[in-house]
Amino acid sequence: MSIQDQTSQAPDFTLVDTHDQAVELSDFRDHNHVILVFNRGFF
Amino acid sequence: MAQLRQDYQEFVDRQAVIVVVGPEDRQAFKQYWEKEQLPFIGLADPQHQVADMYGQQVKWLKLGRMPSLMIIDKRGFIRYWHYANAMSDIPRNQELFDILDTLNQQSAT
Repeated sequence: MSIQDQTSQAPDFTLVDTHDQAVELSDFRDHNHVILVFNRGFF
Repeated sequence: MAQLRQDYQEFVDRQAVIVVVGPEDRQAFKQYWEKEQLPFIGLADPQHQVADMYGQQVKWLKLGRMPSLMIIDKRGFIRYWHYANAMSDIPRNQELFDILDTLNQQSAT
């Protein structure tokens, strides 16, 4: 698919990472693009 | 995720971070992450808080179903998504590189 226009903001959220640090999606604003992967399960 | 790890530096070079959200509880998620030594940001979502929220967003965007991968640009906008299909859960890396390259070019102008 082609790249979408800047019309839909990604909903912000906070979860804890594997280093026990809180990570908020908006932390990356102005710094990085985020490739957000929804994994269905490792096992 | 192995393919993402294989070309991890290429994502870094394009100013992208890879954030993986999974349904496991925090401890199981962490154990798996450390065992596999994955370089990405791994977020356990055992209450399905984020999955549900993005599921609602999906309805608003009229996507029909939950994507397996999204690219969110530096301004927080969703610019690309991909659905899991029978062949693979995520797109080829090159497709992701092309999109990131385009986003980087757009912001440079």
